[in-house]
Amino acid sequence: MDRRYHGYMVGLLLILLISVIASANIGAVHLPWSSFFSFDSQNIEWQIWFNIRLPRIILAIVIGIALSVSGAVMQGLFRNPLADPGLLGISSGAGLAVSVALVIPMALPAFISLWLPVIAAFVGSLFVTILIFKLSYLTKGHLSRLLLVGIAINALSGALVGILSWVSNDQQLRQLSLWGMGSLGQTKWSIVIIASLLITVTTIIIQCYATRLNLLQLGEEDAHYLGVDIQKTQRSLLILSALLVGTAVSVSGIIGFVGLVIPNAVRLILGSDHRMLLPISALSGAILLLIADTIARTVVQPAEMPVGLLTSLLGSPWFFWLIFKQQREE
Amino acid sequence: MRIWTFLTCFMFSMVMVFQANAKERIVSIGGDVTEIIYALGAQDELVGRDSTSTHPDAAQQVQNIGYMRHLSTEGILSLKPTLVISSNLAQPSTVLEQIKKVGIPVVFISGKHSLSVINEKISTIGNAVHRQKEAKALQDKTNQNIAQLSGSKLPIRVIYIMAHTGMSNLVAGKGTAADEAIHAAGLVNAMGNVMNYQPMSQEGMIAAAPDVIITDQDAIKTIGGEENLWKLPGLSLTPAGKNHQLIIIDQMALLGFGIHTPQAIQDLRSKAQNFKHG
Repeated sequence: MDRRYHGYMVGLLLILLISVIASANIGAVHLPWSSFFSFDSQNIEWQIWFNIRLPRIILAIVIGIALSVSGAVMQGLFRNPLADPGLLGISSGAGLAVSVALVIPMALPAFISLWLPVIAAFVGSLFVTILIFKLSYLTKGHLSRLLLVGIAINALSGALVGILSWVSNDQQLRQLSLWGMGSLGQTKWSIVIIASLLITVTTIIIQCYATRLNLLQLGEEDAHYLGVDIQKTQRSLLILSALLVGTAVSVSGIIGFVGLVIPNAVRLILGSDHRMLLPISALSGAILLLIADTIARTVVQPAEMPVGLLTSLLGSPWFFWLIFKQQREE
Repeated sequence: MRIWTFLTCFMFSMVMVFQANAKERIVSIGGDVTEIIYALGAQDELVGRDSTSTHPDAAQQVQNIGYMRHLSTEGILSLKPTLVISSNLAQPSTVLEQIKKVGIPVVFISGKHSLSVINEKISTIGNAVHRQKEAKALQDKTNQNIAQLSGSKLPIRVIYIMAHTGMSNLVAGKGTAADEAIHAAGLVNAMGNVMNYQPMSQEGMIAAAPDVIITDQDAIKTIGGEENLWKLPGLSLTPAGKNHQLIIIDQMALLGFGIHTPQAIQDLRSKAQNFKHG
């Protein structure tokens, strides 16, 4: 671990802290400082801060972590900088489940129907993950074949979602398309706590695999001779990153770009030592999503923008610049 | 001394007056809902409306809180509402649940497509904005308009075309607001054998053989003018296309099932009657 890494860690933590403070202060409703510490549930300002803004800030951070870490793991596993959670069909599996839940009428109690998309997305992504897990036995650990499986799952989900949106009525169709854009606006403490716990624990476990991920970069044979249990490592990492994606997609819909670009950018700057890559990616993803969501909820107030549009808008130009800069240096 | 007594009495009476006229701060979600709020004369209390609320024109001056299915909790709360009246079409929405949780009453208005629902909407909104008398008068007027509608069936086949930028043109089948409006006008929906909105197909269009095409101003804009409409697949081979028989309606008035819908249905019927049909 070099000095540069510690410098980046401290710097990013500071930026994250500043972003959190800024985000807590920015919003459609102006909150005085005193309201942050009033702890009075009758006070409407405290209510807005504690029940609407704070859970959203925490959610943006953990979803940002989930998206960028799962992206970094997938890219490391497949030794392909273009691999991302979408590639294995996990996001589209979740999307399919949500479409089914929205379009096919079900008589359910009100509180369940409100959370139906969340539950459905989680079940969907878990189902696809288990499917991939089972198939990874069949493909005897050939990751390239697993990628093909992902492509097949994507194609199938895409076709089924197409059929569902074709038979859906106007209202269902609009809900579907909005869910596809991603938003952190549908937050509740119960969801935030569950998602934060799942994502934090999973991320910590993934960090323990960092050295093995580094060895995997040498190729499967070399890694095997260096004492890595290839199949077990690959499978555990697959499940763990799928768990991250499933949680993220189920809570916030599909937010693109973060999982693909953040780890790549960190790799360009710091190289591909996963012991550094994973935590730095996690922090960068958290910062990007927090800033994007803060802009999304304030820039067109009292309305709100889909955050997925903003992550791409903010991230793409910067990523272009980074690539060209690297080119010139070489 | 006397001045103090006077002042105290004056202040007290001012407070009483203020309490009697305690104004609501209303956020209205849904074009039909906003129209009824204006018709009941409660527009002074309106502090926010969604993007579908464009009628009457004055509503466009009110703060826009965005699209009804993509609401922002803080955005709505920043308008300091004391009451939110929302169309059921905005459901299910965690945002509206959160607003309820903060302690602001949220009143839901039916989103069904039928003439019988209009009066229910008026009375629910009338109760919510404390204007029962005005609501009664408005209901009487609406009832008159509905009673004047001739329910007799005309053998005129029509198709409603919906067009938005970025998607294929759709025709309205069974279960849509357009289908309900066509039936209320005594006309035949030539696409009545399919469900919901369906992409327009050339052969389907020819087989359906509509006498008249119905669409709205936005769709004409999307398609690029009336000339282009008749160039749409299959349309030129239908009776409507041969005689260029087109009715352009006000989408909110006809399909919103609000206070202007009975009149819009009446207009649709009388316009359709003037056209040649099979």
